[in-house]
Amino acid sequence: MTASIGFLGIALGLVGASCGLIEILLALLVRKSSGFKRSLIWVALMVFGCVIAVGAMELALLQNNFSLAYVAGNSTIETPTIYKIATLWGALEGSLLLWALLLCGYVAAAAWCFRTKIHDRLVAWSLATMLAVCVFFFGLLIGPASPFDTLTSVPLDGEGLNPLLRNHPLMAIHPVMLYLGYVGFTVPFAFAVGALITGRLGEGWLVATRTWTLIAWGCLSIGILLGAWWSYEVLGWGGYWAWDPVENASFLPWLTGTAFLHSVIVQERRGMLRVWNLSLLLATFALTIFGTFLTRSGVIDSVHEFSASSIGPLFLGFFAIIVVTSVFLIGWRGDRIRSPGSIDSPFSREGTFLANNFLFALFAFVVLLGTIFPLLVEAVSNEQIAVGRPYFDRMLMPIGLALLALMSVSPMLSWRSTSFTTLAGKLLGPAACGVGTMALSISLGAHGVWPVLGLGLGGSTLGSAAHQILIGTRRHGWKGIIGRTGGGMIAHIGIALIAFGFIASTAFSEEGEFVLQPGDSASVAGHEVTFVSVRDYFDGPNRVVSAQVKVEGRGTFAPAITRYPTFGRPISTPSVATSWIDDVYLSLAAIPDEGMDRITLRVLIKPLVVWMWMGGALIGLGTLSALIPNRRELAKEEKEDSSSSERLEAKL
Amino acid sequence: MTASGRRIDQLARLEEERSFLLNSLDDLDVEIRNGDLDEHEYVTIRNDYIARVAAVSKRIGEGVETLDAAAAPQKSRLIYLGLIITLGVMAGVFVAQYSGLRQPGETITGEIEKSPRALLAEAENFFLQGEFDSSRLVVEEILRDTPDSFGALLLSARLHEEAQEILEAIRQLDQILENDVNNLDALTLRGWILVRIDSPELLEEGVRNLDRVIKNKPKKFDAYVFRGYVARYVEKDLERAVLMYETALSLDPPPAMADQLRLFVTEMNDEVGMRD
Repeated sequence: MTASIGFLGIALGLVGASCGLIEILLALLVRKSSGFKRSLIWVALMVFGCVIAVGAMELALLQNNFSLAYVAGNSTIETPTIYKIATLWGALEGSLLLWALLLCGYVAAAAWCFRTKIHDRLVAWSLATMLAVCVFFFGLLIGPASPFDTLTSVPLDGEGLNPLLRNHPLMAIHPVMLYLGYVGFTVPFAFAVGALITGRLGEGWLVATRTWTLIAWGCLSIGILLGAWWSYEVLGWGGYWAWDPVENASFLPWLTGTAFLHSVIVQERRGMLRVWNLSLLLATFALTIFGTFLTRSGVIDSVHEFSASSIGPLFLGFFAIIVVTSVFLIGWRGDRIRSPGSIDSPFSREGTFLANNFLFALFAFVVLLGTIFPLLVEAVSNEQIAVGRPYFDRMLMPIGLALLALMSVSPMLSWRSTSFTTLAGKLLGPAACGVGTMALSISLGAHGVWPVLGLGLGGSTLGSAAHQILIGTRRHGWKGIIGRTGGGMIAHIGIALIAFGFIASTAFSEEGEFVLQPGDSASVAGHEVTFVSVRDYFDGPNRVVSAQVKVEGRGTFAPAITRYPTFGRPISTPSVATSWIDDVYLSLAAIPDEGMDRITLRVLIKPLVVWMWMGGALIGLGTLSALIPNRRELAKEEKEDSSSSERLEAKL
Repeated sequence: MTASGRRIDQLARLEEERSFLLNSLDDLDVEIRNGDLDEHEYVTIRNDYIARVAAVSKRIGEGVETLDAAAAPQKSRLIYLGLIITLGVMAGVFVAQYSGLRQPGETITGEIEKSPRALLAEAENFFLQGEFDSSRLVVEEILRDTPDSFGALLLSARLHEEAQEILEAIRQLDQILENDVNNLDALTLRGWILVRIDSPELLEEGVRNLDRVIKNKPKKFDAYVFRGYVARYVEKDLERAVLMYETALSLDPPPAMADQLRLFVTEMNDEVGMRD
């Protein structure tokens, strides 16, 4: 019954998306305006169907309905309720269902916002593009990735998710945020396609989609950081970012999306970089699909196995369609989108934005190359290779530092041009902050040219953003922190905090591994840890060894390690004693022999890690602030409409 | 495109540029009002724009015929192209330099920094699952960084034993014993390997190893099981074998092994009873 209802929901979604698309295309091509309104009804049907399907799946998970292959394969009776709900996005078919739900939400919200302008061809083409994307996802869900396949022989209990996916509440939030980011880029992408098709390539469509881009970018940023936090809290290796392909897949659209958020301001302010902005937006959406292809097709395991997954080639095909269509549209409209004018001076806001975009593009290229290189080599020579962490660290460190430097300089520059005298005066504050940070970090024990330079640039970025916020609040009171400029500067402070946390925890981390008996103590970087006792017990079929470890001045913590009979290696669950200065990260390195009270404890001291999570919160806050329209910014958008000769006369 | 077509196109571009410059002049006024520019910057930029508007207007005013129909200079494009190719080549060289053969369980990119202990746990896990090649690769990785790791050497010896590379296994165990003469795990495995070789001399040495372990009253059951085996099948000393197996049973072996040992003890007790 549940399977039938769920399948019906997906079928309704597919019908709604397909009919809405046909209706709107007919209205556009035959110029029959009644079709535009009717397409909105089809959108409502699509959303209704998708909600039914998701509801049916959640009900099946909560009721342990193991007649569904998805539930039997990914849930168990013992799974706590929160993880049962989160199982929806724990495996391929369910995560695509979540994708479809979020996509429906975005499409419905966009259709609602632009309902009065639905006759506008740009809006109609945009809605058609969004519905085409919906057709693809519902097509997957009804066929090759159906979450409602049933089993002929119903098991008494399910197999359950990978234990790593059900031992931290962040697992319930992180994928949803990430998908909100991925899927959210569909709306600006659709508007870009609409603008290209209709040839209305002014700045109007950008203004219309600014909110959507910001929401998507903010969610993606927070989703990535939550993923890093989850990795840190769950995986037990003491890090949060390893440049693995799944991380890279989420990072690539963030890089191009961030570049777009900056360069779009140049287009709005000065009408430049039109081709570049369209390309960035199209690339961002394409990269979200490419990322999903990478993580969901099986290609990461082997290029030769990915064709065994029916979903892989379909995703690749969809990605190819997006790329080909994008290139064709930009080529077709090439002449119309060429921007007049040029950058007046490299020492201008737009000059630094252009440089920042170049660096973001280079960053994305390096990550993309590192990610696909092993796949290309395997496809060509059948050799299975891996690209190590040093490639990413060494290639990206100088680019990252250059971006930090630009972040500290750019907000201080005026549009068009800034004289050296003015520039020197404006940069004095941020430079002092940078030098001060370097001096402070050296006095606290920081060493090495690159880390100290990085911290200095972080300080200077912080100074520059704080200066801008100060000016804003001095001029406009508390309203100075809202709007795009205020929000952007809050996000810059967030990025500076992340930079501090990343550099300090990477360059100045210390660790030790100790074999301890109860009562034994060990010391790492001035932190004394004492092993108090061990508890060895069975939680159902799983053997859990939990150690009580006292961290001097921080309390008692309980790192654990669990051996699941259904999962090969034991899973270590770390325990972290957090403070503003550093984290004392405790994890059990190996499962002790039964009956033994001797543990192998790994102790890592990671400075300033918590600053990264605070930085993430500030990025979220900055995004929210930037979403609030600022009256001053709105006023700037109102362009005078007078003839060239009159204006020239007036100016001269 | 014909020459006249190119001229018209160029004229349109000049019109567009003039419109852009005029818009920029408008924006400049807004920016000075908002305090985004200082007076000096405003005047400099304004004069520059006005001069550029005048120059563009003059060119437009001179008419289509005077415009240069030739294609725009390609120099800047070539510079960009060169830059992109250079960066691409550099990235290619780096990516090739930092790539290597993928180890089992390794992702295609990046890596998680694992401690030798965590790596050893991983290798032991591969071993227990019968994935000996994967286990061997991880052990080799540990031994590259920490060549004297007892745990890695012991597991390496077990892997060699599994592959019937007896000499290699003994060498690894001897390396452990060089640094720690009383390493009970190494002595146990060494003894167990030697007693199964068809050589009285090696059998004797193996038994000596196992006896040395048992003398130290180990908390692990395996040395008692091996010694029991020797007592039963080689020395035909059933009482000793029963004693060894019962001691092993008291040390909580895995359930399957415990069942087997109990069976052996029953068999031997029956045999002893029949003999008596």
